[in-house]
Amino acid sequence: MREPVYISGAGVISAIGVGKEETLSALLNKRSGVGSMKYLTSRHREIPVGEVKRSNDELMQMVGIKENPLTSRTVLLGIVALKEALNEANLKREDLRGVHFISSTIVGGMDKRELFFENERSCDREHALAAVQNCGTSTERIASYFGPFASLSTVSTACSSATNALISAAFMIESNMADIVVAGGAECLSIFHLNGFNSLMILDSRPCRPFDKERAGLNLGEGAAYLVLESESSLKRRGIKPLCRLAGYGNACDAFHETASSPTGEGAYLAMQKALEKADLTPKDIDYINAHGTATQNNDESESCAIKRLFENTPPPISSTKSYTGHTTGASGSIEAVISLLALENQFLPASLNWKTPMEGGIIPVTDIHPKREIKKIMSNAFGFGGNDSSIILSKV
Amino acid sequence: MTTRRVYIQEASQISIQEPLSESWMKSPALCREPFARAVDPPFSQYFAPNQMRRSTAYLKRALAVSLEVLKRCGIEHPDAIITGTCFGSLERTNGFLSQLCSNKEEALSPMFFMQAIHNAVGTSLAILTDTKSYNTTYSHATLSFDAALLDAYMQMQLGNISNALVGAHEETSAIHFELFKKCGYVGIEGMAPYADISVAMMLTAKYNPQNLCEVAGIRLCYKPSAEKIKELTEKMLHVAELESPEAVMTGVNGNPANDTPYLELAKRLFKNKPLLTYKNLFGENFAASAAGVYAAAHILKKETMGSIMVINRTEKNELSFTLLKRL
Repeated sequence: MREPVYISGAGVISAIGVGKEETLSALLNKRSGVGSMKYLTSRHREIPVGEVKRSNDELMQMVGIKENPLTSRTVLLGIVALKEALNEANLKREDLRGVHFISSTIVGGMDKRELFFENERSCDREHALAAVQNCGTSTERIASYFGPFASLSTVSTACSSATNALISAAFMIESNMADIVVAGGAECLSIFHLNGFNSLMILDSRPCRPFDKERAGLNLGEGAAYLVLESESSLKRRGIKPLCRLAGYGNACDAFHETASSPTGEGAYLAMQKALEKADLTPKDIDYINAHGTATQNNDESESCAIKRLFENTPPPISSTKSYTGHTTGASGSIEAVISLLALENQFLPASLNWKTPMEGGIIPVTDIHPKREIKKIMSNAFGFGGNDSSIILSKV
Repeated sequence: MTTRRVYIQEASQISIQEPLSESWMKSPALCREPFARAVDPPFSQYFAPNQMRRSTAYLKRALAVSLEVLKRCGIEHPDAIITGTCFGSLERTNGFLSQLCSNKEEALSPMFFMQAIHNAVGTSLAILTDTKSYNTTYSHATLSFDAALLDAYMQMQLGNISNALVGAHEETSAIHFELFKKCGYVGIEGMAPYADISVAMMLTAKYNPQNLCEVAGIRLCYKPSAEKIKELTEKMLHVAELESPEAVMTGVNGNPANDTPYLELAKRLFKNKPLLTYKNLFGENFAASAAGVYAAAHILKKETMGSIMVINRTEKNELSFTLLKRL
């Protein structure tokens, strides 16, 4: 028997706010966090980004840690989000021995390394440690702030990383390897990441317009979010009421191109189909889709095609909340899972921003926050370079 | 839940030993250099010339060793491709950073960025073999492979998949050798060389007398207490119907700072059991634990040993235990 998987806590930080409450308020008031670059020290000041509205100093002050060459902004964002998630699930330091932690990131602490790369050859030991930090370093540093988790792991599958961290966590619960797993991702803006996406020529010079005919690329964002996944028996034992259920998940590979999605969105289609199958649901059971919707020419076309194939001509309301947060890459899967959770808890549709003209063959995103029917089941998509495509379904309990 | 059996059907490597071969068991290559590059097989049999031009040695090694395992198993499309890599392509990451600095954030190579992303191996493999099934990448320091193996193991327990191509790949870089030396990770007098390591293996739920061994359990833990380790390993042994492993494979590499915790742990848990090492043969790198499991699997196949516990440890005291059993 597979153990069902519940969500008992969540925490989030992104361009639209610190914590679930601020995030909810921005979504209800259609307030985007994408704007001019303030904290990132890139030469490309003209590129709009979804920055968390806190400096590193402010973040360090918030969590009470001091400057150190190893303290990446990714770690700071991760700590803020994880703190909220653990609090909501009523998990204290003494409980962590029984809690596993899976985090995801794409470039982790690159924001620190890129600052002194030119002088790296002559750097001291402390900076050498910062230079060789890796995705796992971010996870360990986030974890060690809180205490002795049972085990740690790090997923890195480009822009679907955080969704795959959630899926990996679900395996642990289902196979009785764990009772409680906190999973999600953290990613800060870095010069490396911004220029990487810029070199691919997929950054819009204006606020992004998911699923719009005139869309011209994505805005990079940053943030972190974690969800506490818990088994039924553990919830009972701890006397905790779950927030929702992780009813299904699917992971498939588009196997098409290193950065582009196939025109028919085969990987996306398979991932969504697997998630429905796993949840034992049909397309008509889904009340809202939080699309990957990056606003690149390629993604929105491919994802529209995949959704239309699976949901035929009656897809549920769909939107992309990247018009609020920007594309938070390695954290986007879990940030959007928290946004989906908020939609479920508060019965609203996170409306797409900046949408005006339908694209040919494209889906039409919702722009009104008021749902026409009760929202019971939400699908959230995350697709990564190389076709690492994943989809999860959250279900009301 | 009843435990389902999981086997290693095939396993291969490209490292400082003879590539795609188990000749190290009889005539190991000995390396006394602090930093050694892999002995590469002729890649032209695996790739078209245009693929050769665009790929780094890291990507070619990772793909070649994986394709070799698929070929030996006669599997075209595995149920899962699960990859472990700590750094992805260092050549591409360092190359992109260099460009960023020298070109002042202008005229950068998108190919460098694309190939620097950690899932490049796993997804390239999917593209090359047209495999649309489950595909993920773990990037968790020296436990990247262990996390990948755990994923495959759990999914087999759940019946999600019946086979999985699991691999771990890490390349060396001159820049990183100097940095790692400063950190005390490699380059210590008398220790195993810092080396390229690429390992791939096929896990299967299907019994076949040709399989290399059984994976009887795997657990990861973080800063565990002595009691926790005892409880966890005893449970693993109990499930595997063993009293104790016949031998212990550790990541001892000749660097006292690395070795002492391993030796203390092995002495405390499995007193008087023979200790096996593999880093003296395959070198040290973040994918080394994959070489440990690979070596243990072949030892179980070819020698009369009954079981091996492979222990892997990070400097932050994260541990992994992989219990392998003779068929």
